[in-house]
Amino acid sequence: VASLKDSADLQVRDQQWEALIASVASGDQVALARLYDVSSRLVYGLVLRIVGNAASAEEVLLDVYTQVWRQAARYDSKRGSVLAWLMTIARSRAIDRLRSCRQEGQCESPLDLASAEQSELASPEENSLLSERQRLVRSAIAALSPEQREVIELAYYSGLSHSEIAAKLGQPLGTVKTRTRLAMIKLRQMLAPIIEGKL
Amino acid sequence: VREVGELKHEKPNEQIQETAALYALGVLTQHESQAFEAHLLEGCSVCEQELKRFEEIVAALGLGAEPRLPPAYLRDLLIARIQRESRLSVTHRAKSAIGDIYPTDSQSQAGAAQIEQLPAAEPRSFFKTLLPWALAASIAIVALILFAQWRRAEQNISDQRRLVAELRAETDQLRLRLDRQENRSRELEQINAVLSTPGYRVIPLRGLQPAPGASGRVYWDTQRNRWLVVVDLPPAPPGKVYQLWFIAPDDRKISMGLLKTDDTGHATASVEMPPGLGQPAATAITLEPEGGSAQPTLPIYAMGRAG
Repeated sequence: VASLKDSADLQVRDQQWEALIASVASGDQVALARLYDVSSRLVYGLVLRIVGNAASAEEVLLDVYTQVWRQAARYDSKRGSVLAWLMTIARSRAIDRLRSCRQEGQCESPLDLASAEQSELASPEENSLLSERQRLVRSAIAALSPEQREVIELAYYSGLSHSEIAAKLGQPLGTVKTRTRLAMIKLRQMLAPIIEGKL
Repeated sequence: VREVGELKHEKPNEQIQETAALYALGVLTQHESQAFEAHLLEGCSVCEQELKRFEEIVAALGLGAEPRLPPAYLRDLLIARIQRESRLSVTHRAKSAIGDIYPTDSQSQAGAAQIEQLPAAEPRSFFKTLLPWALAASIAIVALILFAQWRRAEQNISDQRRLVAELRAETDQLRLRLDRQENRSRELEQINAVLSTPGYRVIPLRGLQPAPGASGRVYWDTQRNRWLVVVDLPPAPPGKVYQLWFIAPDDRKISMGLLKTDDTGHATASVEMPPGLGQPAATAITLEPEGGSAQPTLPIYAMGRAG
């Protein structure tokens, strides 16, 4: 559980990131570089996890920050933190990439991390507050039942539709939907500190 | 999804939560997504609230992935790319799609989207109004440049042509002078040849009334009995030719042949004297009709007395 001081520091950090986004929106290239420096490890980690190979992940990473550059003016702090916004863009672009290469039939398996594991892990101590959020997210995912975790990970990382997930798991569609709903409600409870801005 | 098609909801139920959760995760089919979006557009705040909370969860789930250090060159590539974009940022920002970050943008931010389109009108008006003019101006400038280059090329060609003509004329002059020099040189050789024979004689010719400036000489090789005649006369008029006469002591006039003058009036002729003619009293040059005459017509242009 994060201390009150950590929470306050995190809010300061969120405000700093919001200020960066505001500068990016006004065309400040240095601000974009700063935002990249503080966030690219998280974004790249997510993108790499979804697309499964470094070459595609690098292209997607560039696309993500190019989109941030173009659309920074549309960031709305009422809808969530800058980090959440970045991760939403990153997942969206990564899944787009995954789906298009899947259609062309030349995808590596999204969960095949053979090439991904060759890339360096970001040093964990560089951002202890973000790590606090990460720990919470991971512990929440870990707290799901194996069946729930399975559908959530497939839904989140694979870019498959619910019926494709059902087919992949050999489960009825209704079962998949129910598992997804229950898993999301459980995550909502466990991740409340993040959602409510306390972490 | 069927259930949320038409009604606004009073409070969240399982169906709403399921649809919102699946929508937030992006695993609904396109048809199901559109039906849910239509329901949101009807203004169901319950569903909107549920969706917002699930979207926050989905965004947070990104932190479940292990952070990775991207290759350092990607940062340079990004900077280079946005610098390129910055030069075109007006058009890019105008073209970038609105509301593709949050799935519900089209619904809840419809008003905001309209406001955002206002600044976009500026670059669009650039394309509609300024761009054609800019293109026309560019084409006009290019045309002007091409025209100027064409004019310059034309000028160049005419300059070159004039130069070639001048050079050709000069060459002709030089060739003419060279020809004259060669003729003069041959002439001098012939003169020298006559002058180197024993017993040679020279008869000077003097211009008479029609051509007082005329002059010439007859170099007489007495051993071979040949005359070398070198004269400067007025250029012969068209249809006329100079004729050389041997005037015997008894005043008989014997034709020694025609003298062809060049355009300066210079003439050289080497003539063989008929045998048994003896010593001339004089030699004379008259202007005769083309082809020559049997007997000379007056006046005499040049004359020399032997002796």
